[in-house]
Parts: sequence; structure tokens; C-alpha cells
Amino acid sequence: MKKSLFIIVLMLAALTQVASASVKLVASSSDLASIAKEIGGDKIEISSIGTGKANLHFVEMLPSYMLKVSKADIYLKIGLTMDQWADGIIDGSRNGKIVIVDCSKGIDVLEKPTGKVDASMGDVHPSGNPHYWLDPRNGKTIAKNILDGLVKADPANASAYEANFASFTQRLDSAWQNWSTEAASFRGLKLVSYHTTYSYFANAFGIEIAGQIEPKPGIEPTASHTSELINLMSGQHISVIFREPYFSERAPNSLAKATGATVYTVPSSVGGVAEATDYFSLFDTLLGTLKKANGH
Amino acid sequence: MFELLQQPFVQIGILVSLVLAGIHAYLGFHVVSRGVIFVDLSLAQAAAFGYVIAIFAGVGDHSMQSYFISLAFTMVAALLVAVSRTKDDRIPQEAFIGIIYAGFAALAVLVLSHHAEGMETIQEISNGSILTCTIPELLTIAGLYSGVGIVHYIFRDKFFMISENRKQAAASGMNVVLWDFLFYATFGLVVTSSVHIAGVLLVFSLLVIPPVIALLITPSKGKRLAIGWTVAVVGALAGIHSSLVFDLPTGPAIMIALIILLLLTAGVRMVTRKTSTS
Repeated sequence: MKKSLFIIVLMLAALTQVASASVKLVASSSDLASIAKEIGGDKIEISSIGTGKANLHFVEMLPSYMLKVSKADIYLKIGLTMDQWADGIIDGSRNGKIVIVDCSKGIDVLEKPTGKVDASMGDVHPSGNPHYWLDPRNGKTIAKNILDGLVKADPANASAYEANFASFTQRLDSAWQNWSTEAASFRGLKLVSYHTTYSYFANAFGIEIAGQIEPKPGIEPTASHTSELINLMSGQHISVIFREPYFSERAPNSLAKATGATVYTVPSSVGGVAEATDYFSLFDTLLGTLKKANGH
Repeated sequence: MFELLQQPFVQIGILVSLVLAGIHAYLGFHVVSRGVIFVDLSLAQAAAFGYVIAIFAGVGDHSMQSYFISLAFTMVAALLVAVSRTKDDRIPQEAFIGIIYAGFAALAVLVLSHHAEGMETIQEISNGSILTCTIPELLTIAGLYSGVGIVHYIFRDKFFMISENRKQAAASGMNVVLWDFLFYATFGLVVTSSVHIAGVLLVFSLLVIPPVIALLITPSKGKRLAIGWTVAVVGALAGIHSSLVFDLPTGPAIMIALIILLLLTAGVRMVTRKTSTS
């Protein structure tokens, strides 16, 4: 009895040791959290504000977010004006010692508007397309940004982080080889997506996003836009529609009805669908869907 | 819970909600006795549309410029509301107020339909976010609302006369359209700032629910205001408390707390009426 009590006390002591030794990290998205887990391993405690099931462009503020960030050592931002809500959380948490990492640093940004951006240009992300994590080659850049942040926040464990970074990039390289081979079979496949979410993904795997359903989520597509899309899909024999889990099914389904195409619900982030549990299985899921779509 | 109360964002959130409760519960009495319940929704929507225009013009949605653009649209709506009070009793003023609301809401969607961050902005303006309020924002609204409060205190007889008995006010030689516009202009000043911090829906709840509860409880004019303020403060604090304990969005939590207070009041009233008649 005494012995077991002693062991429990020891275990509790060990637990508090672990809890106080760990670096607390908060990420805007599940993708950044997944890569951070690869780099930080058991040295860091991770929480993610994005779940993968919700649209990252807009986040409803909860007290727990502010609380987490107020106690965190490091915050991972998506950047490129994707998660401007994060600034509100970071400012509001008034955490003076937090290390803020903009994970888009060093990314080769697609769809960057040239010259002055004004509203007449339509649905343009002012800093370029922010869905950069969907090109697995960008995973390395993200990992490097996270590594630098972790080393800054917790220099004592720098060597462990560096070793994890090396192993992660190695595994990502070999996965990239496999994915590229897999993607060769549907190179040039054309599809229609909902939003400009998959530009980086298409760029990485040689597929073509021929059009977008709704330039604006939540606003019905105009009649002329819809008929253009139907003509485009019929003319180019496009039979694949990608829908992110957080967008309504109405518009994709009616377009599918009109053109005979099939709607596939695909993740845009880790956790978007059940199979996409981490950064690697996110691409496995996306490529698996394309393989299925290509067979049709 | 105590640990949470030490967080600056919680402290500021509580102060912001108290400042909002103070002015809105008072203005709500005017709104309710005028029978123009949806006026704040239409002015708030006009304010929201102003922010939309500011974003469209590229001046950012949290700058002084955007506030004044927003205020300008609120004033246009205030003017429309003031002149829409017709002598023709067959058309209730509420109809025009509803049209103003729907018009600005539709315009906002049209303008933002081709803008990258449009929908997020519309959502943000409906829901607000008290917890991310900054100290300068808190000081700004505290100062502004005190100013509006002082103006209302000085001209209280005129404002209450025109709200409660328009015919008598017109008979006494007051310029009713001018005073109406003045009322809506001060109201617009408040709503424009509140919408940006608390969102359209919470502003509406703070305006309408406390006066309704007070009117259910007491016929006396003097007590009404005290009860309205008490209700607004209790609702705001209870809402923030449950938002922290159950990790819920703060604005909607305050709204539901106010509605629960209303249901309790109505329930108690029904029981006491039954016992007094039997």
C-alpha cells in the first residue's frame, strides 16, 4: 500500500516535471500543428485553433483560444492574410513573451496580384493565394519556419528539434517520390473546385483547376457564371467537382446534376475528413480521391 | 474561474459589456416606447454597410476613416427613419424600417460579392467579438457614450416627450422631425461604435430585452430605468461567466442570458397574476 502510494507520488512528480518542461505551442491550423508535432515531438504541447472541418478564413472567437495563447510560448500563423483573426487573439491575450512564426515565410506564393490590388479585381487574396500547405514541397519550408521558431523559444532542446526536422524532411522527400509516381497516372486531369483552395495542390501534381463554382462562399453564383461553368464543363468533358467539407453541397450538387459530373468531398486541411489524420495522410486522401475520380 | 478573471482580455471584456449595457438599456426605453423595435437593426446594418464600403475603398476596417464612413451611412439611415414617420396611420413606420434594414443588408452582399474577405466581414459584423476589444476601443466608447448620456440628460424632457407622446410634442410647438433626427443621430453614434465591437445581434438584445423586462415588472417610470440597468448588467455578467466556464462565444452567451432573465420574469409574472386573481 505504502509502496504503491510512493509510486503514485513519484509518477505525479514526473508528470509535473514533464508539464513544466514542455513548450506550449498554438497553431492557427491543423496542418501547421501536424508539422509542429513532427518537429517538436514529445517536447512540446500542441493545440490547434483550426480543426480542418471549418473554414479557416473565419473563426468564431472562444475564450479558450485567448487563454491558450496567453499561456503559450510560440504561435504559428498561416499568414498571407488567411488568418487575420489570429492577430485579434494574439493582441487580446497580451502575452509579451510569445514567439510568433509566420509559416508562409519563404514560400513561392501563387496568384500574387501584380500592381495595386483594388476591389474591382474581384475575389483576390491581396497577398496571393494562402493555401500553400497543399503543395507537399512547401511542407519543408513550413517545417523550417517552425524549427527556427522552436529553437528561438526553447534553445535548450535545439538539437532534438533539428534531428526531428531532418527526419521529417527525409520522410517527406520519399513520400513526394511516391505521390509523384501515383499522380503521373492522372496528370492533366481537369476539375472544378469551390474556392481557390487547390491551386498549390494542382500545381504540385500536374492537374488543372478549370474553374471555381462560387467566387464567394455563401453568395449564390450568378446565372451567367453558372452557365459559363456548365458550358466549360461540357465542352472540356470535366466530370470531377471538388468540395471542401465546410462549403454547402447545394451549388456543387446542382452543377453535378446539370453536367453529369460527380462531387467529391475532399479535405483542405488535416482533420477535414476522418482519414486525413496528419500531413502525410492528407495527401494520401487527396490523391486517393483523384485516383478514384480518374477511374470514372 | 479566478485565474480567468486575472486575464486582461477578460477584464476588458467585462468592462466593455458594462459600458454597452449602460447606454443601450437606456436608449432601449426610447426604442421600445416609440414602438420602433427594429430601428437599431436597420441603423446597425447601415453602419455595417459603411464598414463594407470602407473595406471596399481599402481604408481597412478598424481605422478612424472607416468609422466616419460608417457613421455617414448610419446618419443617412437615421434621416430616412426620421422622415419615414408618416401621418398616414395605415402604414406602420416599422414597415419602412424593415425596408431600410433589408436594403442595406442586400447592398452589403452586392458590394462584397466580388471581394476576397467579404463574407468573413459580414459574419464578423453580425457576431462581433467582445474579447478582442482593445483598451483604446474601451476608452473611446466610454467617452463617447458618456457624451451621448450627458446630451440625453440635458434634453431628457424633450426626448422622452417625443418618444412617449408624439402628438403632445407636436402640439407644444416642438420641431418633431428635427428632434426625431437628433434622437436617431445620437442613437446612430452609439450603434456605429457598438456594432464594430459587439456585433449587430448583441446590440439589438441589449437594447430591447432590458426595457421589456423592466416594463413587465413595474409601471413606475423611475424604477424602470434602474431595473433595466440591473437586468442588462446581470445579463452581461452571467453571459460572460457562462462563456468562460463552458467556452462559448461571448456575444451569443450574453444574448441567451438576457433571454433566460426575460423568461424567468414572464414566468414569475404569470404565477403572481394567477395567485392575485384567484
